[in-house]
Amino acid sequence: METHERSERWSIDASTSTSLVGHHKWQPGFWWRFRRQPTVLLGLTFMLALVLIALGADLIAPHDPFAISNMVLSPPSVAHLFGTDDLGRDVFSGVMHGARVSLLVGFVSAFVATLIGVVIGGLAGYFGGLVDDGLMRLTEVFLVVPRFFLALIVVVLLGSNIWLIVLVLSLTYWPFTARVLRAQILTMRTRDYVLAARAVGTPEIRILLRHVLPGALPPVITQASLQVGSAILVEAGLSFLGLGDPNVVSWGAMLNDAQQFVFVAWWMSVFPGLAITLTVLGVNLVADALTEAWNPRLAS
Amino acid sequence: MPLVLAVLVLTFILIHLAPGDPIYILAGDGGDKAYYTEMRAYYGLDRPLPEQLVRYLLAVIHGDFGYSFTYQQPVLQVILGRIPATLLLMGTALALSTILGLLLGTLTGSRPHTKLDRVITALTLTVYGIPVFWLGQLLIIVFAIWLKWFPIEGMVSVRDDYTGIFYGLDVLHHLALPAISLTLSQLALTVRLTRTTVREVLGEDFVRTARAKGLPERVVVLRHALRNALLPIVTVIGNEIGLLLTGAALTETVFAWPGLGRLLLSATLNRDYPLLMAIFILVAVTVIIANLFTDLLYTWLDPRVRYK
Repeated sequence: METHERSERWSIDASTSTSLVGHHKWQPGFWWRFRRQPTVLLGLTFMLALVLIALGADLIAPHDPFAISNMVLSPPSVAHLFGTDDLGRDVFSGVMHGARVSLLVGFVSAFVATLIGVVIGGLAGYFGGLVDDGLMRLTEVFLVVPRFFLALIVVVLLGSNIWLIVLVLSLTYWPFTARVLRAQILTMRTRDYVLAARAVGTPEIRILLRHVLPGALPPVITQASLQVGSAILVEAGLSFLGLGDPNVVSWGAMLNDAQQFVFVAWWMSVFPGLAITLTVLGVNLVADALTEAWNPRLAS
Repeated sequence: MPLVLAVLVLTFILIHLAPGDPIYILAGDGGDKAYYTEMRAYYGLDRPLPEQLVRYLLAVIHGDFGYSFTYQQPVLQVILGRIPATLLLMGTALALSTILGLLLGTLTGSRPHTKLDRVITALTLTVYGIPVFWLGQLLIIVFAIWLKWFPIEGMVSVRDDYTGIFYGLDVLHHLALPAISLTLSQLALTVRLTRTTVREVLGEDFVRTARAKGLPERVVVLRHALRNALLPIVTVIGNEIGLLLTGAALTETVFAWPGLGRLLLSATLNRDYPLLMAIFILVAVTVIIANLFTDLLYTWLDPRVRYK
């Protein structure tokens, strides 16, 4: 019961703050709510640690991740914290280097997809009419193409390359962003403050950039952060099937190796998988906090 | 229908983007010279591209996906033989994850910020980040290798010739671990979705009215909130069928489950292009049909939406 009363008060707080500050969701209240999310600190810490590991892998990793040795399939020890694989490679160093590929694929593809999505969604939402119709049909096509299977086919046909995977993911993630942004712009366009700006003669492009886009950004950023985690999982899945870029260390590829040795070397499976899980969890924690913070309907 | 066409055109473009002679991708890698001459004529590879496209579309629409040299069978037959196993795995996972997901999601969504909510939310968020194939490996290590409760892989025990009810039980025994992996990975999505939707609906005016009428909380949550939350949940589950297929394909690989995903891996390893293209087209068409079906279900469930 006590929680119930608190939640009541919460919703009143949220609604008054929206009406006071008015239109922008990108308001101080957003940051306040964002920071108040208990998960934010955890998620950001995970991600910061990962970025540091990825950047400094050459310096901090105790071994060369490709270096083979005759210490084959040895369990975790002081010399090899996470044990070694079937070729005597150090799993700990592999996990550190694997952070690079995952972060690269996750962030670059989410970034490119967001750019494409913002442009297409922005054009569709702003111009409406025929432009909107055409772009939305295109969006629907890209939305139904099964991403993982498309990436798989492309990699098999065109050869495995990390940038090719990034490209396919970028080209299949933008529809979500485009849709979200279009919907936002459609509701924003009729808001009073936009009408007011137009009435005082503000140029259209300035209205779009200064008044409409900032308000539409939160869902776009949330979407982008979800795509980071999802893209990391797709790359891991491809590498797990043996279709990753053979020139880089990838967590998925390490799990592919581990599959044949599950009987004898659990450490080959446990640590790379844990790395993927924690990375995606970190990204999703931040995404989750963003969602909670910007959606006032949830503030109860 | 236009969507199916768009996907087919996309595969056609991919076939021609690939380096090397497209005939190997269209007709497979392993025939003799006479066969390729015949196939080149069939797909009209000496004709202009638009005509090639039309010939390709006609072939695919007639269910002619070419011949698989790996399996020495027409591709369509190879695929049809694998569908039941995949459907069994996917159906089990979809049913279990939907029922459990609605249950847990409603439970947490109607009591936000309680201890129970926090625990379940944290768990689902973690499971959401677990790659399904790794979950499978972990389950194998713990329940098949250490505890020896379940078989490691396959769909039936090869050495025992079970029949009747024992055959069914044997399949269930093999199904347990892959189904649990796939269910858990789907469950995370359903729980999170249900929780958010139920929370949103609980903030609506009609819920306030229902509470004001003095209805018991259980009735408010189940009859008013969950019922209205079902719509968006059904939609998302229907639209995420591609995710389920991806999960099934990866799970099958881990557990050597003899379905489409396993077939996909073997087609990839053997560069069995006709088989590969056919599986891709099948998956894409399944997703499109699932979306269409979801839309229809939506109109049926929600009288406010009427398509003309």
